[in-house]
Amino acid sequence: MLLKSGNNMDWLDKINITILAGLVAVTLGMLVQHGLAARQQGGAAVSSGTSIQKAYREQVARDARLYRDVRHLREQGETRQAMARLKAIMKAHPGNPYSFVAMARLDLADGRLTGAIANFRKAVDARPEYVDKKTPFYIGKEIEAVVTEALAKLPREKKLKPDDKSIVVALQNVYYLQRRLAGGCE
Amino acid sequence: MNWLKRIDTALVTGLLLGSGGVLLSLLGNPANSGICVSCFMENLAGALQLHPNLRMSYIRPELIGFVLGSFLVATRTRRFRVTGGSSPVIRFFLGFFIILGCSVFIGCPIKMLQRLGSGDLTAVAATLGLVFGVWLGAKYIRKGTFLDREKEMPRINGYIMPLLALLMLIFLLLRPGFIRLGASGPAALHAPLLVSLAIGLVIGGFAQRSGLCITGGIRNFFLVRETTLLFGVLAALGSVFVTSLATGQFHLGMNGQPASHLSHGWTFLAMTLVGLASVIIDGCPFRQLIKAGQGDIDAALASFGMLAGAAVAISWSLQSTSAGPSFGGKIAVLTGLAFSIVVVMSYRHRTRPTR
Repeated sequence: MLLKSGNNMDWLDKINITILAGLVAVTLGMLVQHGLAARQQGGAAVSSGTSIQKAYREQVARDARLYRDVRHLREQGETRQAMARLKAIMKAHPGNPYSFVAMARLDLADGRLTGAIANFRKAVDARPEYVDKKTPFYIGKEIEAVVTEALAKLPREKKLKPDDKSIVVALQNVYYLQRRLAGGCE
Repeated sequence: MNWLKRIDTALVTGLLLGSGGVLLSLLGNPANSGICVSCFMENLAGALQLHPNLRMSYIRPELIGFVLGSFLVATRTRRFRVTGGSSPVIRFFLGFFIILGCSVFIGCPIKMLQRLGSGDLTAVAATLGLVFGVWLGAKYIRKGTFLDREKEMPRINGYIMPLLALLMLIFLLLRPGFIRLGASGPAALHAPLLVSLAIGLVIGGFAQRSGLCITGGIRNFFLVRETTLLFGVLAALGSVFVTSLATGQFHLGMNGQPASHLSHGWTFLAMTLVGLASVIIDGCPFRQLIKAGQGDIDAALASFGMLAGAAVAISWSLQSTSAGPSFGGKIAVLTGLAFSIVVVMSYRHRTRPTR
């Protein structure tokens, strides 16, 4: 038995049990109080989710502002100017994964399917939230459409040009994106 | 309640494990990862801030349920036996390497069954690797390899793991500041807490009664052609197949499978490590948790090793991604295999064991 039965307990056991009960009660009380306080303040673990979502939304808004010109130029069909503007942004803001998304969209506008796929892969690698439905970054539907188009075209092209390494690489990128879109614990 | 005794509990546990996993995926857990001890350990390590990846940080109630379910059934049926002292450091590090092997494949043996049963053909290499690893382990047992005999320990030792599980439940409910739960990625994907906990408790209880173990079932077949646990494993696979088919989660093929990669050679080696190491410490990651709940201190130490392995796998980026295994992950698998072989050689008794 973990504890002796009541009859066998001496004074030391009784003191120990009293101290133990006190320690457990105080610890639990402190934990409960801390948890309640954290919730009231929108605290730590509970709010980490909320604050992260807020930070995500702010980043999406910043990206929309930063790349607004690129989007406008692309929508007007001025893809060369859009590319020049995008390269300038990339120089000023290196490491922003949205550049890959913008690049992929320009590739698509110019009919470069394999280029678009490679850039979407870079974007997802750099920011997995692009295929995460629970974040405002999610562009999974757009990527899925490109993947579906590529799966209809690339295997056929591979048969026609079996020695073309670029098609093999493009197919690997497509399968990678397909796996990322499928989700899982990654 | 006589009818209960007639039912093969291993078979029931297998059915619950398989269908429970698919159901949990359907209710919010990551795809093909309704139950995955290695993924859940990585989540737990993140929630305890043992690694920095917030996307992989959540306290999975299923893990708590496995330990507490096993504890409750063991104490009620007088099977709560506190034993330990059998090569603790070796068990810790084998548990550690088992999780590294799982992270290279992206999943524990239970998730391997889930992936296979729901049509993921990349899990075929993992299954072959696991079976080969277990076969290797069984060969070593036949040749006289076994860890020291465990001995009875003071009961307080057996209560530590269930109390820790209870503490994790309190942390999950109260969410104190030092517990970190992610809001995106796999951390944000979870079934309702009470459902996860209930499924974990039921499976934990049945697993304690039946002794179901993925690697144990295969090992018993190789060693003595005993099939009780193996049928439980096959029942798990079958129930995954049926329930995933019924719920529209079955997708046959190599491509487009969630959290998978096409490096079949490394998958094979990683699961060989998992199979071999699991046979040495007498149980797959799931079984270690169940045994820890019923008072096995050695299994508790292996579980702590698993938690350490999970933290290192993420902190050092040893885990595979959809792009394939990392260099570090490959080195971890090779090191784990080397360590396992050194262990089996060191513990080989040249005369036939008497146990």
